[in-house]
Amino acid sequence: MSSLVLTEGTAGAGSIASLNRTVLLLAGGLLLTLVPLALFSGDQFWLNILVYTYLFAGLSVAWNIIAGFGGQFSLGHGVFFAVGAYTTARLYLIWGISPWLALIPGALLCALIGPLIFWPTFRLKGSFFAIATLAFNEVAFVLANYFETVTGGPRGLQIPFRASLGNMIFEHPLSYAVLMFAFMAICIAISVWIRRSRLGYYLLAVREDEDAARAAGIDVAGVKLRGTAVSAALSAIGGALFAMYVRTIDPPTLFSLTDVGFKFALLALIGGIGTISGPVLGAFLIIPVESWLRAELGGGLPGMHLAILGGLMLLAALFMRRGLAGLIATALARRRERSKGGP
Amino acid sequence: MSDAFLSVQSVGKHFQGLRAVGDVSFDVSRGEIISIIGPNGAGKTTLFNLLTGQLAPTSGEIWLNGQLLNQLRPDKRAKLGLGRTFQIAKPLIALTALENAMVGAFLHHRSLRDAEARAWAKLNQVGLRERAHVRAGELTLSERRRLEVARALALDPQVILLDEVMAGLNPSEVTEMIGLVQGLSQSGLTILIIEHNLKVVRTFSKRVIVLDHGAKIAEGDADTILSTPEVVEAYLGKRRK
Repeated sequence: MSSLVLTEGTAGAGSIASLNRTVLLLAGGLLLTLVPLALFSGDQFWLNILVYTYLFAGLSVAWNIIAGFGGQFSLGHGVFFAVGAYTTARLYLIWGISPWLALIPGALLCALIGPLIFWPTFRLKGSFFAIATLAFNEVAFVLANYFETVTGGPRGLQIPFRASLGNMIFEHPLSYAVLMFAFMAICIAISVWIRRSRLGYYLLAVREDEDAARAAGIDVAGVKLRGTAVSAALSAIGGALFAMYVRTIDPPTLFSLTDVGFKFALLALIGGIGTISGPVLGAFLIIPVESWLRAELGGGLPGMHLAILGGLMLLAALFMRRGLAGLIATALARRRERSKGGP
Repeated sequence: MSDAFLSVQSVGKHFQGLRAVGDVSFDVSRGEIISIIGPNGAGKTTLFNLLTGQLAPTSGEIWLNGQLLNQLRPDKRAKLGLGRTFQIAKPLIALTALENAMVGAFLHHRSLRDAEARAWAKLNQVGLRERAHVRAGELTLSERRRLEVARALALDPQVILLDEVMAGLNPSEVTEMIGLVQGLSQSGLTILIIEHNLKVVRTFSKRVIVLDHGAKIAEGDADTILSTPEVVEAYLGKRRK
């Protein structure tokens, strides 16, 4: 019985003692994610992988806000990622606006269009919602190819290398790793804050049972829209950082399902959807493995890394429904029970 | 409109050709407890769904405290003070009992601390304090029903609609639940309760409304109701001559 009590987020939510515990856990967890950065600070190959790990951990945490807490399994978050990337890159290229500022309009734009495009699909449930949002991704892909004036069309946008802090362009990948770490930390902090707020509880209630949520005075559509706005805005910021890191963005990259749209979901599923640590765990497991596989197998067996990832996901779906976070929580609970001399 | 606290006026609900509820009227005064009985399919739960806004009535008007509810969504009605439980309990199974109650408490308490304090008070009231950190999915049927009541009470409602909260409970659990309902009634809460068991109804309810085939066929105190031929007929069938 007590194993369930120990799962994340369900342990005696609100008291001050548990707030302190949450902050401690958060700080400890974040410090832990800095360990690989300290280990590999001189290694370009691994630093590059770390940049992506932090970035996608943050993105998956952001996705998890509406998909994990709110139960709205979006496969369309690639759209927000792309809008953030295009907006920031465009503003920087045309008017030379610093990406630090230019990421704000992208985030705001997504906080608006996210709820707007999800609005008609929120009456769909489960996989139907997922499929509809997947369609958004494909429509946006076509539009991005078409509207060349904004997106550069199929040729994409190239951001010239002019290293400076103001330009968010750095000589060394270590700076990017620190930047992405900060992004991840912000996403996690916002996510923890939401989970402990009224909106967080309302998102969970909506996920569990919409009728019961309504009977508890919850404006179901409003809660979904607010969750989407936060989630989409953070995804847009992630997209902006991605654009400034790779400095070449085109539709096939930004709207790629395997590398963007599905990836947020994949990481959260493997790590533990609906928890805070889950998406981060998923990212730290999958991104390095994937990058390594891609490098190792890319030459001889192109696409093989995807087959392996697909297999991993299948196994996760079959044998660890609650992801790595769930697995760890159960193991911890079992140990505690044994040390108590329980059954 | 009427002077009554809760007023149901000629309310009807048709699903295409089928009349689920037809032309039902009754008034409830503040602090009253009213039982709604009737055989299966009589339209009791449909009536509740019309009151809470889960369904929109095809005719008639529903007034609460001088406000017409007809066009309001369920969440707006909850804000106006209408709490309910569901016939098939709908606990938020991945959340703990405490978190379930907190979801209700957040309606009038924005901060986490206030909502949690409120939720604890309500869990205490329904006797679930010891089970606060257990996930709702792990609770027994009786506990789930009490949790539903706690979540509804956490809304600080003016009226609470209890849909067969005794169904499936064993005799000692029923006694507990009767005690809970009586306690709520004594605290001044207005209560509408759907219940099959006439003996149970008798213990706390002065006024009983009987529905059959979507229509109100009788209304009065429990003893009068039981001696009404239409009610006996609805429950037991026609007496053979």
